[in-house]
Amino acid sequence: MTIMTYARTAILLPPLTFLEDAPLVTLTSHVIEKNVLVTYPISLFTREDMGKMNWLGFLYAFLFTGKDGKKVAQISYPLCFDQSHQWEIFERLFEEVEELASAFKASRIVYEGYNNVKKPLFKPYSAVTFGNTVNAAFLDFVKAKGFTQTDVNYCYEVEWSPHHTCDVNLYTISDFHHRRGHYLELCRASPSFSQLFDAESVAALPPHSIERYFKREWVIFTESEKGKCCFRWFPQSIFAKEMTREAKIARILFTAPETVFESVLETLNYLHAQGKPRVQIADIPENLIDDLEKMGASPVHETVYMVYQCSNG
Amino acid sequence: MKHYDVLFIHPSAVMSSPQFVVMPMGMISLMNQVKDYQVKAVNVGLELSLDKNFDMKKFLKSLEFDVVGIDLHWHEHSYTSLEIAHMCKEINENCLVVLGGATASYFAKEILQSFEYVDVVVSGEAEEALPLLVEKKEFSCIPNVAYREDGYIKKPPAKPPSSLDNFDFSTIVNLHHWEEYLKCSIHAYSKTRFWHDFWLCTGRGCIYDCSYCGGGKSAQKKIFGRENLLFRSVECVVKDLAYLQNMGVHIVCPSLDFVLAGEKYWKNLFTTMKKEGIRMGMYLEVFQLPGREFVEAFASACDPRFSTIVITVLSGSETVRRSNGKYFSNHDYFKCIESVEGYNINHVPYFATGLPFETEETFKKTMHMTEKLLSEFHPMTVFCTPLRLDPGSPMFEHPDHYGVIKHYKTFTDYYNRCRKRAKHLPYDYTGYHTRLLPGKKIMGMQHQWDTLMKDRPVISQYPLHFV
Repeated sequence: MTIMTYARTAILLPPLTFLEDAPLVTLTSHVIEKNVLVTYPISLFTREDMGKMNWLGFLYAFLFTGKDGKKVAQISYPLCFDQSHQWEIFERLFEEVEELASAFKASRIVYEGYNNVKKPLFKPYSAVTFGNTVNAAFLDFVKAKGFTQTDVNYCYEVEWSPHHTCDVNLYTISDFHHRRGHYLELCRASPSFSQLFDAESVAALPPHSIERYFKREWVIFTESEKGKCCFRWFPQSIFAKEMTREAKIARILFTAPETVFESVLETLNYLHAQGKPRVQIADIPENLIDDLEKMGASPVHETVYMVYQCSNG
Repeated sequence: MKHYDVLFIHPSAVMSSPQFVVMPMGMISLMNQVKDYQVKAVNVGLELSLDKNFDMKKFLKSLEFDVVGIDLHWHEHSYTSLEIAHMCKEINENCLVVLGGATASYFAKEILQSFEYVDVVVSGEAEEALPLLVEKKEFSCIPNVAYREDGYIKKPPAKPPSSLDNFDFSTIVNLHHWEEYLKCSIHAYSKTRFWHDFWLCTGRGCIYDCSYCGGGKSAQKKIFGRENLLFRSVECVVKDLAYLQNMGVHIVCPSLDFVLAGEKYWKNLFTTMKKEGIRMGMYLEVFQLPGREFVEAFASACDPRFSTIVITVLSGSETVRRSNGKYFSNHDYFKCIESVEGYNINHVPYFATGLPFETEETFKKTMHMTEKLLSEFHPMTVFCTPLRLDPGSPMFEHPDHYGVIKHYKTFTDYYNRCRKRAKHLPYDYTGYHTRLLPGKKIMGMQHQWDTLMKDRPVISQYPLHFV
């Protein structure tokens, strides 16, 4: 008998010290749809006689309806606290996800993995509220489980340098509700935002505590003849005091892909003016890489989208 | 049949469903005061949350027990604590039925006069008394014990322990289903809640006398004989935090506002937490407004994502607020929450309806303040509830000063209130009205506030998974 014999799972976070790469997770991060919880932080652990907890593994699973109308189970943030049982731990956690996916009648299970990581990532690692972590072993695990790669995009780091301004109108919106409404419109329109949602009901909610990170200057809109874009960025000083010059663009929304590069340039100018010349930009499609590299940007990592088709799919 | 020397029972506020599930923090220290005996504790509300068919009588019949300790701390348990006491005596007439807690202490004489199946009321803090009761010492030799003798009720003056550092407020494994207890809110166990929390006694007493509070300075003196504020040492608190962190607790809820302990104390506490590698969330109810330096130190030692500062604002009117014991302006409050949000700490404002000196005019300020909070800030949630008349509170003790007309005066009044609620009969929720506000008006104002919130639901869940 091994420690795994006594291991059990619960809907529970790991010790908070292990959630360092999930800066946006809060007490109110759970999501309920029609009175059903659709956010499952799953811990795997054992307990000693006097109650001491021995943590073995953790992952976030969450369920949502994709823009194609199909139900999706997504995995993020897998952790393993006992390397000697790594594979078994991943197996147990994945069994839980499969059960959830089946109960939800999900058509697919998806995982965003990180490949070719060249340097430390700025936070948040991903645009998933619950965060994500670099876990090469888990990426190998999902491949072995039959996940296939369907897409890849990139994260690049840029140190600002003067460049031509473009014919793009950049603006921010001071009124919170107007800003959020505009943002939600773009979420709905942009192919880079995968969740289907009812914009009107979200827009009617009062500011949520997660929207402390939705300040006027942190949500940049651009507009040109070709289309609209939005960049949601986070100053790194909110996560680490000493990082005063750094920023992370975690989310790029767009109505037409050809607008993105020019809008990135304008956004970098804006961030430079905000005292943030060093920027990591995630969510970059492959066709922008050449242009970014020409302006001296260096790769941080690739994000690979791994998909597992469920029997329901 | 398993035999227990001591059986602890935390009742639900109604017999058939979970209500007021969270236990008084003293229950934990009491369990540990007699841990060398065979001890079991059961939380009826928790059991009902786990199994709606849980049958207390059947449960009691399945055990043998010598002493049963039932808490009657909050007046909300006035009926069920006594019902359970009765049940215990019926099932086991030889057991010693002991009641304790603030409400039991306040009304000790009346309880012993009216309810013959209660043998003893610990009237005051019980950590020193309980082991002596279990040892079957003479009642007259046990501190803080009220009992019957020769047709009279004996009730010595309450005397509190001078230090809390020798008591264990964190070991909870003797509680039946203790692991599930860590996922309980006040109302029920929640399987889907994804964190564990724990209310930890960090000290006793208070320096304030807020109008509505039955645990304020003068109540502490009257009920527990406690003249001064007493904090547990930083070393003891940090030791408990480390233990709780190992048990998988994510959020600790201290019993007292650390600001009251003074800057030297809280700086030492937060520094020691960091030194010992303790990184937990903290749910801190502050008694006035915390200063910027405190908020900064709090944010550096606790995990802001899982930390909440709860501020009892009471009213949008500064005059009403001040008259009820909270001494800060609206301007300072908004500056404070701006700073709290700046450190990414959650915050929760508490308002109340039916406050002494409140009028319909002043309540409009509460409505405006709520609107401002909802549109310009990011509170985790906003609370507003009608006050209930707490025995021992300044409103209860000095109704004329507060313009309060008491409907409840005796324990029997509280008992009947809870009995009616348990039997689904109409009952008087607040137990008082004020000269300025009849009961119906108080409920009308509450309805007005609830309507405001109905259209703007706060908050808790956010429907998007992605930023």
